Amino acid sequence: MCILENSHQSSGGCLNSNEDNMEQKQTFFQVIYLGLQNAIQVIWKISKIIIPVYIVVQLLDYIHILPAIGTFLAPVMEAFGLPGEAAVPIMLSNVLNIYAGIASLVSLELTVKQLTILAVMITTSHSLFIETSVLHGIQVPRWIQLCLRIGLMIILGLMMNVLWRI
Amino acid sequence: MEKIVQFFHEFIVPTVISLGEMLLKIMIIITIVMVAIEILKALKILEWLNKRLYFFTRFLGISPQASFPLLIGIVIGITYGAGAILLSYKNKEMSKKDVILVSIFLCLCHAIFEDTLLFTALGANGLIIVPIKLLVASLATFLANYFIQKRRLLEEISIPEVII
Repeated sequence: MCILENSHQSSGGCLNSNEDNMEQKQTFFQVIYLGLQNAIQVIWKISKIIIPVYIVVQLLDYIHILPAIGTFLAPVMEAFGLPGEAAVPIMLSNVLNIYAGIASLVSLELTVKQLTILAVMITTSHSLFIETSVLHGIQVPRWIQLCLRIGLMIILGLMMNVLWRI
Repeated sequence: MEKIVQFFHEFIVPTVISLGEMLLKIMIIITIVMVAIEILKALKILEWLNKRLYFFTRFLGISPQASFPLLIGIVIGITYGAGAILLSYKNKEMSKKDVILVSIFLCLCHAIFEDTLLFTALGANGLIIVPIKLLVASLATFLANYFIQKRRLLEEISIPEVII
């Protein structure tokens, strides 16, 4: 293939393929370094969201607004087997991202069953604004994504609450 | 003055401690996941896995060429997955149906290890979360494939009627 290209063009193609082969043979430390670099970038991006959300949620808890929201939404969240306050992480992770949801989740006291149900619900449907526009970029209609994610979040939450009897 | 001291003891100290604890957990998990992803990329484990999963993607109605973007999306994340889909769609390796099926799978189930590990660190049961998510996403994709094919069959059937 390379020889054929050479006959028509300059020798650029052949050299490039050689360089590609060289690049693929990364050393172990280069790979680790690349991973750490990515990790630091992601952590920096995340902590800009996590720290403010966490402090605001803790403050709301301290001045007794969070428990008030909890008692207000308790009848709705009871269907999922969750306390009323659990609506806050679900809302935050849907509107902002999954890390904001996790930050607001730490201040709640939940059992393993409740945490698992909440985890399935949140991982099914989160950061809707960003992720629907990512998939909208490859021509997937927004309404299909929203119906699927929100609908399945609710169905899964209800089903897990009903089926999990231990 | 007393109130400020009380506020400091009741709010600021516990908040800072638990915030630091949580950030440390998240930092450790993300570092592990990112390094693991780079190792997966360097050793080409995803390509290796891709060859062994063709029966699964065939069951979902996804063509073998489209299964690699799917795998990238499941393991690494939706942004990478969408990039891989776009690339192979431009190279005409994927049909329109493949794009829709892979997107339906990915919008329900992506970055599966990262998200699950974050919740497992708080105390959730990861061994329940992962199978449920994979099962639900597969089921949704299977049903979507079923309806797409059914609609196609109906269209094929309805064409002669229009001519008559």
